[in-house]
Amino acid sequence: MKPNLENLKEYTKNVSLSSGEKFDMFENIRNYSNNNPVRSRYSVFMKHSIAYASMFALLIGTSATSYAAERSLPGDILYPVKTNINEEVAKTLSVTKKQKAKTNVKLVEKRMSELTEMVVKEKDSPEKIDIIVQKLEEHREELEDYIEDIEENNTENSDDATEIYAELESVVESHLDILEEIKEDEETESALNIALTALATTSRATSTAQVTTTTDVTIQINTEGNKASTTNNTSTATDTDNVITGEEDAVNEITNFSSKIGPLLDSVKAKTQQNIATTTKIKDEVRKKIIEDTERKLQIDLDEEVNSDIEL
Amino acid sequence: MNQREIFEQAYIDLADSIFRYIYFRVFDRDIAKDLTQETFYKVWDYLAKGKDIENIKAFTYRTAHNIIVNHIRGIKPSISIDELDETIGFEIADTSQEDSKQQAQDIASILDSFKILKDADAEIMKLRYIDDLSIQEIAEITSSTENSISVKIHRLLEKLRTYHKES
Repeated sequence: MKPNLENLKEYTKNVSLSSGEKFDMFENIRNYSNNNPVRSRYSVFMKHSIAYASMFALLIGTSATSYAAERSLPGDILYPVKTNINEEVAKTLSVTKKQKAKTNVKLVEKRMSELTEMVVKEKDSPEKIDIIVQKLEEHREELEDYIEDIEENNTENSDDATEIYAELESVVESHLDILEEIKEDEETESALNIALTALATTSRATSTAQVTTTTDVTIQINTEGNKASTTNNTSTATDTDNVITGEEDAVNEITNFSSKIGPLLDSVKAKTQQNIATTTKIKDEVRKKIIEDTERKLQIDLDEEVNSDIEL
Repeated sequence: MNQREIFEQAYIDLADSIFRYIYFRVFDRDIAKDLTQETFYKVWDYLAKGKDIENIKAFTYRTAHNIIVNHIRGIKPSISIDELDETIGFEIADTSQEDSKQQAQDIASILDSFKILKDADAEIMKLRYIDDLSIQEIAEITSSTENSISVKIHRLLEKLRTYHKES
């Protein structure tokens, strides 16, 4: 047959490699693939992809959780996240002793805010307040350590220590107002008493560089006949009221402080009772109004019904 | 199926076709062999990057085409009748020497007629009438549609027929 375009393939299909040629070439390409193994840029990654994925999820989850935890209060599920994780991170990010001390002052403020919020939202309870008090004690202890370090190392820069005291004092005093809201609870009062007084002590007890770190302070406060006392280190408690071994300034401050608390607590009690009365009054009024409105509405509906009947 | 298996299976399936494909563009058996090998090396290079190949047949043809283009670099190889006779006549048993020479000549003239077409069009005709690929396969290799390939081939046939009649 004569070759033409249509039958061209009948001729050309015979062009091929001989078996020998084909086999040789196969060996060549096999060697080539052996010498150049698969180096997928993904394969290593994919092996660990589960690890990466879970790390990523953990990171996202963690940051979301820690963000949500910021607004939590004692008793909430996320509160431990706030205190043990978020706050620990903040502490770690504080490098110098001064920064660390300041962080602790901020934490004290946080505790005070939490307390305020709890009371305002009526979420407080002796147990929860206890949590706050414990934390306050922690912060106080750390503050003491840092301030000691600062004063040991910076005899020239006693400014740093003073700065911190000043901050602490202002934090504590500005939150004294919340005491006005505290409900009647003897245990709570005394626990809080102790914590706040201790803080006041920290801010004043070692105000000058000359005082050694082993200064002990004993405080006793009389509140409505309850004796509450706090001791530092190795000092011993005595029965006499207001025995203090320390600077005169400290004595004055503490006296001031405790004298502030007493009458405050009294007025709190009175106000609370007043508040309760006011609240009851308001509740009654509102209830009455609601009843009136409802009756009026019912009457309107009734009238309408009657009228529609007439129309029919 | 891993990359290695895909690759070796592709070779077994396509080695001859690719060889043939290359031969009818370079018209030299040895060169065709070399370039065939090179084609498969290149295919492996791609697979070794961990990439997947959807249509390995089309991919391999395209790779071969690129290698040919690089090799020729614009110089169209001349078709030697003797060479053609030798290569094509390799398998044909019941053809006399004279006949096969004549056949080779005829084939050479057919292939030569592709010169009136644009390179891309000639390529399509070759894929259809030498490599015996389906319209779909041609469309895949040339990144075109079945429809446009169909229409093109029809048009090009007309063109070639006209050329043959005139010559």
